[in-house]
Amino acid sequence: MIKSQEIGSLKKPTWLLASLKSENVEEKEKAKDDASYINLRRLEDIGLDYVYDGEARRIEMYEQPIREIGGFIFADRIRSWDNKYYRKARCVDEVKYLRNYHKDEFAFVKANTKRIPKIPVTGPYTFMDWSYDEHYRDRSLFLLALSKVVNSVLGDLEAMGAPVLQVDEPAATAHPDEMDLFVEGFNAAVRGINSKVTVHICYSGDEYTSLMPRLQSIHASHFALEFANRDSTELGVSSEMRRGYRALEMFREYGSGKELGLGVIDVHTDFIEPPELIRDRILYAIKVLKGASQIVVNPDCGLRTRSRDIAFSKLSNMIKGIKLAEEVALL
Amino acid sequence: MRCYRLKFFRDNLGMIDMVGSYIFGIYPRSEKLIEITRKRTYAPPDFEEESRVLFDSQREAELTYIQDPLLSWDDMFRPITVNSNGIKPDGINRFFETNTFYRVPLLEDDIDAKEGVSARSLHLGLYKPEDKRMASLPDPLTFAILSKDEHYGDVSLVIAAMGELLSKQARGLNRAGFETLVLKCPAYGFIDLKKHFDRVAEAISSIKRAFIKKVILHIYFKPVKDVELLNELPVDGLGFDMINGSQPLRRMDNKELALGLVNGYSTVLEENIPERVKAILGSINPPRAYVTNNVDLEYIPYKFAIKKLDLLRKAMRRINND
Repeated sequence: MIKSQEIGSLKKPTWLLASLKSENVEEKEKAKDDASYINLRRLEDIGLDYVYDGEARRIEMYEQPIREIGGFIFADRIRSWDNKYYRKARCVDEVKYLRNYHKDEFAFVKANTKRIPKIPVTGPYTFMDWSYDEHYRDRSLFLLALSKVVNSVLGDLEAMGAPVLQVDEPAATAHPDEMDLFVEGFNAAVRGINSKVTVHICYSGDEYTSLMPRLQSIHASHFALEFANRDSTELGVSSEMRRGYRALEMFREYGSGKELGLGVIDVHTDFIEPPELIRDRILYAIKVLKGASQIVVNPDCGLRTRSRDIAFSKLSNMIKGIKLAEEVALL
Repeated sequence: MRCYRLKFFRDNLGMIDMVGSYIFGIYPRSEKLIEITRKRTYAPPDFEEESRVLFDSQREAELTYIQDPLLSWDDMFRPITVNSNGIKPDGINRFFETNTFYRVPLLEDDIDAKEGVSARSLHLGLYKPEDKRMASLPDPLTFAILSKDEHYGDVSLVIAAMGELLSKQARGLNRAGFETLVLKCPAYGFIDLKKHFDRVAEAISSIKRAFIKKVILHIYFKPVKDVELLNELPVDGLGFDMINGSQPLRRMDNKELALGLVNGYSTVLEENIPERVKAILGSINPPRAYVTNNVDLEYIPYKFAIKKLDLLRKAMRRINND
């Protein structure tokens, strides 16, 4: 049987956004609990095996944790693309672990799901690459300081009983010349962790060519990667139809013993992938990897840029597509 | 390989006595403009008021050339990609090694645009008669490499088509009174320039003929390997990112030199610009030199862009008064 997972974020419901403007702290916290609870139920009802709460309590994956790490101040927003922006921080002092910024949300998820909770935690390389460094002025020193912080967070979550820790590193392949530095920082962040460690990397400018040869040296057992964004929407299991999945050949070569989080949903389009398209993407991966044992199916990335209706429709079709693929592959 | 050396008209130049300054490319939006654009995706705001402030900031910084801050440009290829035939903005992709994304220009048919697409996107009314007008456009190679080609089938043909498209824009800018054009070349450090050189030289030659006046290529993000090739291109000046990597420079007797020493990717305020300028110019000896940004200022928040303009003003006073 092929397992399924979400990658992390979902769009916040409008009523949650309205409640967050309230000055009543109790009301705000209650709204966050409600949103987490609803997200969990929706993801479970859809049929996902690994779930989280859609990051309902987080502003987003960067700003929320950076607020809780010592040494940073924010420097206003800059553009991500079009009219989308993010608030970029300046590191102006020594980076310090202050507290486990995911503790409360994980405790809530753990108490409110019977599925396997998988908590996304932003990785040190992404923190480094997305911040201005005015203190260390040395990427290696800055990275290793952040790795210590993330290591403390992961250690706390493991002690709380987190079975799966997903380290989000969307910036990992942004600088192919720096891949060895990424690996050093990542491994320092997960040192001593015994829970299952997965890593999510998306929108690789080099289609993972710098990552793949290093899979065995990265101390993670699972790599959740993005493919659908590059793929055609036509049906078929030929390499031409599945041109977004070229990196699978390298995963077969270098990924022995590693699990693959196979991105089958493009999170940057409202096009709702039909189950048959998802089926063919999975079957193509089974063909290239010579079996389904390494495969877990997921969207390319978090779905927060899509409306909730579209996000849940995409995820529903993902589960239908898995079933179709299992029928064809006789799993 | 053909030689594209130009005849240079060196009136007003001669030996370097003064170093100039300018800031090319897209400026960051203010927090106020960010709020407006975040909430009004389908009803674009009027960018004129905010642009006026940045025109004034450039004058206060005593820059040699004044450029429209391009606040309405969502990436370096728009508005060209939304106002031309055969090409349109498609899905998003990471812009080189930054955490910023651009909409991939999708080529579906023969591309063509009217002459003034770029010029019309600028706030020409904000220029004063005494301003020396500068504009920025993508260079044809970067435009071609970052596009998704579903029509031409050969990158050489795409480069040629981009050359024609950009030539029309250059002609429009010339007619609008611009005297300097910066062609932004972030792709040059990431690809084998030799492989495309002849086609690129033809495309840039076409742009130069259309613009007639000063054209400067600016290479950034990564050093270019075959830097000597750049001297063969038919342009008046070369600009380099002097922050990222170590760009080897050769003696430049026939090209102006723009030194990208103001870091558009860092909030750290540079303190040693005058010292670096003197060290570099001592060995390169170009006919004229400028201090510029290394990359677009849009990668730092607005208030830091303003600080960098002030920093540049102070640095230039030290350079030219010492």
